[in-house]
Amino acid sequence: MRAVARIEARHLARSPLLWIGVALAAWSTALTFRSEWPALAPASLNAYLNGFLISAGAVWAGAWLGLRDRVSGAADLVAVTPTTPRRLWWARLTSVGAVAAGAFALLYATTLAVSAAAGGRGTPDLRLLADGALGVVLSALVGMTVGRLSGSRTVAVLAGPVWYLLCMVSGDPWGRRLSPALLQLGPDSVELGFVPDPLWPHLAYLLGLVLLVGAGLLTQAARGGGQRPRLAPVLVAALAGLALVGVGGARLVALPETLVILGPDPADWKPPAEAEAVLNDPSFAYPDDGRASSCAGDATLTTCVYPAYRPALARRVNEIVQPVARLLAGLPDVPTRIRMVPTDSGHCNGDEVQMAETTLRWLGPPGTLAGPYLSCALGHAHQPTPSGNPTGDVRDAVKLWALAAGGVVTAEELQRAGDTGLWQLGATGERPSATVAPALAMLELPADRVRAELAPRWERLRAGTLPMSELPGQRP
Amino acid sequence: MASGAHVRIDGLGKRYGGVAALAGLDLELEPGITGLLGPNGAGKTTLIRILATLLAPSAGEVRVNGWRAASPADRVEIRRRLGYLPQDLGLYPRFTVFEFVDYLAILKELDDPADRHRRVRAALEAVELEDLAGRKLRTLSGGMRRRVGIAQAIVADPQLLLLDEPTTGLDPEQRMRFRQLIAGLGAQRTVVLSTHLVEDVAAVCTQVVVLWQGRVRFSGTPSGLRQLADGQVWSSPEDGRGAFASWRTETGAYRVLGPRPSAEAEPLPPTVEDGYLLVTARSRQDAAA
Repeated sequence: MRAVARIEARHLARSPLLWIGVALAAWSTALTFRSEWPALAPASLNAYLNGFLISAGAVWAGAWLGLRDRVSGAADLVAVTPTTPRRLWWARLTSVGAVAAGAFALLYATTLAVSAAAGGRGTPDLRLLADGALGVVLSALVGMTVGRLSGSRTVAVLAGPVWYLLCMVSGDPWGRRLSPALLQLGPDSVELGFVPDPLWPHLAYLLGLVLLVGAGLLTQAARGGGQRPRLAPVLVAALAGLALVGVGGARLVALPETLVILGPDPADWKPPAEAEAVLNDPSFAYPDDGRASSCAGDATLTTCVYPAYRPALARRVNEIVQPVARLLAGLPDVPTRIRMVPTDSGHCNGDEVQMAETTLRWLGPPGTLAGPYLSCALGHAHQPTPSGNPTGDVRDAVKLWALAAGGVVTAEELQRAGDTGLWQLGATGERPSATVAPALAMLELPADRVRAELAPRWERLRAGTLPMSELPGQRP
Repeated sequence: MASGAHVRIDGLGKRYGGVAALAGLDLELEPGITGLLGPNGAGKTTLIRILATLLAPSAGEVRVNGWRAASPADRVEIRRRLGYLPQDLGLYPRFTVFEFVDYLAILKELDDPADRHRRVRAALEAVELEDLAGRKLRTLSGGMRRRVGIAQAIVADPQLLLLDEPTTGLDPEQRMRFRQLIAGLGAQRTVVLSTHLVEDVAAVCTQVVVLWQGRVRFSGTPSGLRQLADGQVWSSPEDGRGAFASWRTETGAYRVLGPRPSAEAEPLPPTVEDGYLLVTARSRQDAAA
């Protein structure tokens, strides 16, 4: 039956149904490439997440194969051959599985190759390849079953999008975990992997589903052909499938929905409710675990990232933040280092600003990088703005000035933000105009002069006790 | 080269709900070509499908070389020796001619690729499709598709070849070639040919079975069927009243099947078709009575 499997595989590999899914997935992955810094581990995750678009195509391809005999009218020709339905459908099942897995593997390999060509380094998570491939294989088998049982082209056409939506619809955390596609995988780190890590149980769960659907399909095919199915292999497959689904599913359900990484030790990975108090403590900083060892910069500012992102990312971050850092260089307690950490951004640790791995990887608007740096430089992170401050926070005014003077935002953007709100610029003041106007006034002055005038007032500024009227350029 | 199969049909019956498609058929089919004749609904296709092991009979049994079609294990043995061309032939539209015949050859357990490909080529050559081997099936005409169906039926050199309306869609030249092909195959095999076309039966069959409402009304040789009409075929200037059949010919005279229509009527040599028409007409009379 290997010859049949080969012929079927050859036809499936040429099937536009499957390649529609592959093309959609490739397009979606290409979009991700435009905005994410290349590294192999995140690339493998993108291939996995986008790769599930192939599942709709796999359902279609499987469904068409499942109903082909009936729709084409060739069922009688096939039925009068000595090949038993069980053997024939086993060959078809393996071919559709191989091609579906191959399509996903192709997307996965291409994504990694493109990422590597763009400079991506590190270690991809190969379990994502296995999980994604199994998910697509399961989709193909589901399609085959639907096609065979329904014998309807309409049902087959609808099966693809319906299956995709069923898998993708976000239900409760259990539903998301028990979907053939793991959509909730974060936070993920090139250094620590997925926290929590659902991949091993999900692999077992998917393998169990594939076994169950495959055994069901073969049994149904054998019965449909008037053949008594051989009980032993079907029972073994079904029992193994049930066991894997049970064990994997139970483990998936038992995993916490998400954990906050407070340190490199898994004992420091806490549920959000427990971690909140720690993160809100201004003195919290992610411990120095020595992992962010790819560095670039100078005495004013050095950025260190995980090696998978290469010094190139550190240089890029420096290019964005350094103009802002130069404005305040040499003033007391101004950070001189940015370090990549697997938790959230903005924690300050002496002369170090900690930036989330995901923030640096996605290289969002420059404000998202320069903002946390300025918060640490201005002591914002240590001494938050008192609520109900009617005059706005003087540190926000300086922060906005630094963002504009450092070229992160334009004066026009600053003006507009004064009308619409400052949160996009990382400022927290409750009265935008109260902070934007002094910032714009400082912007009229040479940066050196602002810096020189701020220097004697620096301690009070960082403590948030400097009156707005004492900022450079303010009219008495 | 395969030898023919011996087919024994005992008390075969098939009911669809309350309708009897076959009723108590007893037949023995030997190597050679057996033509199944009968009007629409006579049970030809039902009989062919039961012989092809696609349908289970409601009563009686079929044995091929002693293997019982009702037994799953025996059924596989029968299928190993079977070639089948269904009336409603379906093909995989995205396959090429070669791929499709090759695919079915694999299902017919021709495992050695070199030998299988040789046989596929030979089958395509036999139906004169070798030049179209690479064509997609969806691009073929009805006649070409029929020839693909014949090719897949003969590719595994079957002992029992079941052909349900094989010449439908073939042009006269192709039909003539098909008859040559079947005549050659029938020399060594058991071929069952279900058809409406009496001339096909007359041309190639060694045996003929006429079915009427699920019953055998005639079983014998084509010449035996023809002889049934001896003394029953006339050329008459008048339409034959009370005749089984009567039609005006190109000479202006009537060809009358039945008792002598008039004193002026002159006897004509009967054809197999005359014999068939006589059998069906008498069957209709019997049924009416």
